[in-house]
Amino acid sequence: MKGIVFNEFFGLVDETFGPNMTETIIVDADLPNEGGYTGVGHYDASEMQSLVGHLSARTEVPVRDLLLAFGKYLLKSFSRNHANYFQSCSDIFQFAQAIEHQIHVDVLKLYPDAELPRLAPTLESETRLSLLYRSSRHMADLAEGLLLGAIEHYGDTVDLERTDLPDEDGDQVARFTLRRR
Amino acid sequence: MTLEQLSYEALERRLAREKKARLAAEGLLEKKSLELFQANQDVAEQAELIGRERAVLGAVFDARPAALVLTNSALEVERLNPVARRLFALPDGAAPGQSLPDLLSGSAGFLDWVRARAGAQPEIDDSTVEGFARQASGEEIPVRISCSLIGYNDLRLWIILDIRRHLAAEEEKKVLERSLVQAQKMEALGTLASGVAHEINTPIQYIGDNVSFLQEVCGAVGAFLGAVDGALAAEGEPVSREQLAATLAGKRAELDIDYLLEETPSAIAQSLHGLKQVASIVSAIREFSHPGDTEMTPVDLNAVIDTTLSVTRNSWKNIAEVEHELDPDLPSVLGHAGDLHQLVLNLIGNATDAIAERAPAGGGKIRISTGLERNNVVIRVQDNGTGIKDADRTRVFDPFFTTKAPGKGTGQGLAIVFKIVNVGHGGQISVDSTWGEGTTFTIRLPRSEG
Repeated sequence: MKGIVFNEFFGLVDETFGPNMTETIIVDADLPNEGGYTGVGHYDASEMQSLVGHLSARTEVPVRDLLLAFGKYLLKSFSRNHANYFQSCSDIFQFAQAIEHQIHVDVLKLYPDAELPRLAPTLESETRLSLLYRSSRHMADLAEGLLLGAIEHYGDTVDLERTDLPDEDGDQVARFTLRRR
Repeated sequence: MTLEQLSYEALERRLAREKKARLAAEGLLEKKSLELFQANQDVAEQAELIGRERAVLGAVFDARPAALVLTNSALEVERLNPVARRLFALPDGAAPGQSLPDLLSGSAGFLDWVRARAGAQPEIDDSTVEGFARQASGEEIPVRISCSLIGYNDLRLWIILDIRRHLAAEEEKKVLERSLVQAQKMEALGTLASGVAHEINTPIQYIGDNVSFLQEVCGAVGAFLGAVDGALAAEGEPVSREQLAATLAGKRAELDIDYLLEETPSAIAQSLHGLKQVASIVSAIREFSHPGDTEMTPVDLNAVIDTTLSVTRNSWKNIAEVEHELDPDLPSVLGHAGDLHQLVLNLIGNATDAIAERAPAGGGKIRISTGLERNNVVIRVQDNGTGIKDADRTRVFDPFFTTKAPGKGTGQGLAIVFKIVNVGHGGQISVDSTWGEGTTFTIRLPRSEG
């Protein structure tokens, strides 16, 4: 997982729970680098799971809720720093279809070692799009938060439905269905 | 975020983290810089390699002795090498954009072949086609063309060979082949010469005997007429008619005139028959040894078989009985008469040798038949000789393949037959044989039209 994600997470904790909570969970997590993340560095995703777990323990907020909130927060950061991707799409359907075939392709050009989830889109009708999520990181909650953030970004009146599917070869699998109202 | 809430220790930890992150970032930056440098080096090497490959390919393209033309899918010329430029007599820089079909001419089939290689789904295969490269002056140069996709940007590579020299060489080869066939025919005649001499000698002998007989007849008749003249011109006592008749009758009996006159018509008839026989053999040899026309002409195969049987009679008459069943309404074939004589000669020779080797009980038999099957004139030559072993059947038409004893066969006979039938006359030959029983060769030649 890229260091930028950790730094954004610390930004969220600083803003939401105060910098002392950030320091606390860093100590709690006993991280190998003591929490010194650089944005373009690559780190083990289990460190994020540990940080979120300790934040949940300290705040008594469920991990799922924390990851959903973090996804929305992260989406805002992405939309600020990578505005061109968001501007090239006119709505959430276009954006959701561009994730796998454009955004992830470009990410891999810059970071060939990045381990990205797969998000296979299927446009089932003009008002219905499904995304099949599959990842060894087991971060479907974070992906859901990101999608909710993107829906908010485009201001579309779209409902998001998530269906958890059985794991495949150790990967978490889920189907996100977006329906226009 | 309010860092004022943080304790001094917490601020120190955060500062330490930031330092650590900055150091990590600097390390990554250095690593990325090195990777970028290496990537640049690789790109420079690749660019040099590509430049070199381009130069080499360009040199090869330009130096090829064949005309090379690159076209797009619309068959518009994008690039051509100097040989192509010379072939089409195009000035430098003139061709790009020009339509390749406009630079070519030939049969409808040729132009269809070229146009089939245009478009998004061209017919690309290993085939070649012959037509003409057309120059602005109107001169047309015979060429052979192939086309392939080069796997880039839908470009097609056309290889265009100037085949003027090749066609001249082919023509020369044809002349040489005809000379070779003629030489082989003359060689066969040489081999047959003693037999032919024997065939001629027999009638010549009895013609000579008959002429001697006629000489004797002339002498006797002359002597008798002299006796008549003498009797009529005698002086002295007149003789009676009865006395004169008795004197001449005595002379007639003495000279055996009656016998001579009785035998003379038969001697003349026999001599005329012998002369006809000799004339027929000489005519057959002359026909057989004629080099023939270079152009194909209608040929009567029945006549070819008759002639060849006459010439070769001495080679088979003591070995086999020849039966022939020749279709009297057989249409002619368009062919080279000389080659067809050679063909029949080789098949008869082959049959004779096979029979001589086996010496079948009840005598050797060669059966030759002709007939018409659909549009083909069919000749069958059947013998009851040794036959061909299964293992040898596919090789009998191979040059230099022979099962005869060393010195007896060159292995060329059936190879020549195959070439005359298949290459020279567009026909087919098949062989049906049972080892120890005999062989049948069947030849099908297209009948001449009209």
